[in-house]
Amino acid sequence: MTGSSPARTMMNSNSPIQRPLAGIRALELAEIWAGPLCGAALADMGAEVIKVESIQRISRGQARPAPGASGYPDGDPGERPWNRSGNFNAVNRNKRSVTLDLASPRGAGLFRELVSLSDALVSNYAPGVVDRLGIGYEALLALKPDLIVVEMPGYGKSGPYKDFRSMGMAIDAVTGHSSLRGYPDMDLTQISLVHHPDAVAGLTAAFGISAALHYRARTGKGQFIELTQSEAFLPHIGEVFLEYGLTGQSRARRGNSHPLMSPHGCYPALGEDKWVTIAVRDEDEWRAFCRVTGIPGLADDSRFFGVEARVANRQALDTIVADWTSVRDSYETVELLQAAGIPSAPVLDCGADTYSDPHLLERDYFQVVDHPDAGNHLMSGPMWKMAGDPKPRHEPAPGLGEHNNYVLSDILGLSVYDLQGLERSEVIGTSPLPGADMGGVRRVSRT
Amino acid sequence: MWPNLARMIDRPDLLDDARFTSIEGRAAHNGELESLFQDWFDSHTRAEVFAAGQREGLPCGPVLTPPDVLADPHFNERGSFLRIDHPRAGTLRYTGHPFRLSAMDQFEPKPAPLLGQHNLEVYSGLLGVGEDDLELLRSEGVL
Repeated sequence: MTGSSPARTMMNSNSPIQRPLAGIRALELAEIWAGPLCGAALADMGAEVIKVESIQRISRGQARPAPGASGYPDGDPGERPWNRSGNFNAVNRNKRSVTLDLASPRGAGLFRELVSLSDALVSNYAPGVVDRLGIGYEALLALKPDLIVVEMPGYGKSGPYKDFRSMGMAIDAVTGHSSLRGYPDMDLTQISLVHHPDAVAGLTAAFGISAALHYRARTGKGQFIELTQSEAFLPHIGEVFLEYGLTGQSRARRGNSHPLMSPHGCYPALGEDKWVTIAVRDEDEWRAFCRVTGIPGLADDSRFFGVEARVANRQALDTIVADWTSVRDSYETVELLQAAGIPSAPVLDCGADTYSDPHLLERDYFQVVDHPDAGNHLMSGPMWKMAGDPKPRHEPAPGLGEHNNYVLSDILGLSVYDLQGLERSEVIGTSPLPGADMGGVRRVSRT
Repeated sequence: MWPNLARMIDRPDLLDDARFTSIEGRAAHNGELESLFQDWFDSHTRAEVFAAGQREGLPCGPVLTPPDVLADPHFNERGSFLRIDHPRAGTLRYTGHPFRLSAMDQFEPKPAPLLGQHNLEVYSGLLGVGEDDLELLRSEGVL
């Protein structure tokens, strides 16, 4: 084994600046969205993020999806569908992949060696799994005393629900968010599922790791970060809890309306299923709205004198506004209202609308990422742009086990013969074993 | 997950029911299945369903309203909400830390500042503005 090996920064090697987390190596034991998004943020900031996967259990879609299955570029799962999943490739850009069977003593041993040469670990398996594998925080501390570990349980490491499983939808429900969404006359079965808490957890975890790295630079000490997905999400709707404390009333579903603004909402635009949002925040903006829309009689209509009247007569006002917006292209409305300082935006779908949005195009937001198995496709850009690096480019997501050689030979110093042995004993590999669990969620076996 | 669901509603016998052994079979008999489950849901509280599902490893969760969340035993035991006393707004329960750092001591949460509450700390303490200049800034309406 070699001694310490500083993280290399092959990723983003075309960057004109040294990114803030350059030289930091983070390991990722995480699947689906929340954990991988944390790793994606760290990698965007220049950290070397090594995704530790296995050929026994992975989360890269089904082993052999049927031709035409959704979620694959051009509807084609291809020869190696595990390297072509759109969801996977989007959230694992700029990372490396090593496979290790953590349930085998050899695989777990190599993982521990890797930990001793890393700065941080993003750990998001179901409660109890890392402890069962002998790679919980306490066990790893002996190998790397200043290690930073974030674990991301849905409900936290204490309390009655500590062993419970969660998915984004459940966190959305248990934090009260689901009860706020939708229109007043809807019940919950009619409301689209959102997994927004996953994204919140991932980015908040990356923020926690950044803070812990800063603390380590100052004190030399690592630490454990308990990122509880439900608690990370609660502040995103913190106002409703204060509102309940102040009024004793629980906020009801209110669609796109706002208690203190009107017009406020989403209005039909010219074309099929096209929409535009408008928020008129005060009297100045209301006067400007009447002026630029030129709707006859609107400024003199006593039903709309003052925000209280406009809120009370919201339905009548919304009908008038909708009549005006529905005969205009959404971008035309936006341009007109924005010129008067009124917040307005087109509602874009997640497809052609977004890819052809002139603003995103001019900002060069989407970028073509060339992936050896998935081909050339547009991907969402970096989460932020830093001065000196206005056009950061992504590296493609790694294929399964693509960096086995780099991680095991270059970092850990194993020989070519060692690697061949590991492949023979199925500790490492680059394709899922026949019968591998492709469900992606590491489970504690329960009988 | 099908065996877990059948066990959740205390009907392990369904696992031997030929109508439900395959995904296709369950889809074809979706109506019967739904009414079996609905009957069980109707006779159990939300908390009982949550506990039974989690016992079977299902990532289920109750749909809570904001007052439900504030009263929830789990969030209360963990101290997920912090009680903060604000000189104008009174004592309210605020959402707590988005994550907990092992190296960070528990600290007393502070209320949001009143407008200009820390003028003196910033102007005198941080910027070293003298008393005469402070007076001038006050008279000019800067602070």
